Amino acid sequence: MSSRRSRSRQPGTSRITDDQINQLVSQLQQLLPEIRNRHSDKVSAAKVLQETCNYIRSLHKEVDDLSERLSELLATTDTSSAEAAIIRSLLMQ
Amino acid sequence: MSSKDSHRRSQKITIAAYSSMVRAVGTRRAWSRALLFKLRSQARRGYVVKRRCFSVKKRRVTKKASSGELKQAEKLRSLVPGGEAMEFCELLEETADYIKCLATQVIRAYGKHQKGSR
Repeated sequence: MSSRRSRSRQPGTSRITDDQINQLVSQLQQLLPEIRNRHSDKVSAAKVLQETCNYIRSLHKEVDDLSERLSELLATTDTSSAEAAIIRSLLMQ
Repeated sequence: MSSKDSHRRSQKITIAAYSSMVRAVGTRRAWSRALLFKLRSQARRGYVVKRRCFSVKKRRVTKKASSGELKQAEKLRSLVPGGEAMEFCELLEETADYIKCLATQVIRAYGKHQKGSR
């Protein structure tokens, strides 16, 4: 982040400061379970973005896994149970 | 039941999960609007498009820094709905919101799953 230089201003766009970007990046860092506790000086923006990508991928995978488990549950559950009926009606939409 | 049926069912469940997430957020977020559009297109089409379709990239102002960030930012764009057309700052904001909603969704689903399996 210290390697940032001043840029030429693009016409028609508002100036976005480095501070704004740093703030957004550290905001993102707070959401990441792996690195949220590390002091922000030690974590580069690239690292935060990388961890963000990994985290999103793992969340997507969790959603898929949960869907599969729910799918199996529905397959094995008693067809007359009220819960199964509710879930099925949700899926039929 | 065949594995194809099972797969189709879990796909429906996944779609339902993302639909409810989008409905909860509404249209106030760019990622939510993009995801809503994608889900509706899927429903109209009747099938899910596999990834690998080339999206038209809007010319965007890249405010940028080291190539490490750029590379990661590109990866992030493909993960966040609507990310391809976002400016860097918008991408960061939308990502933060998207992660919060996704994480909430997963935690809620875990809770329900545990309750159901008792």
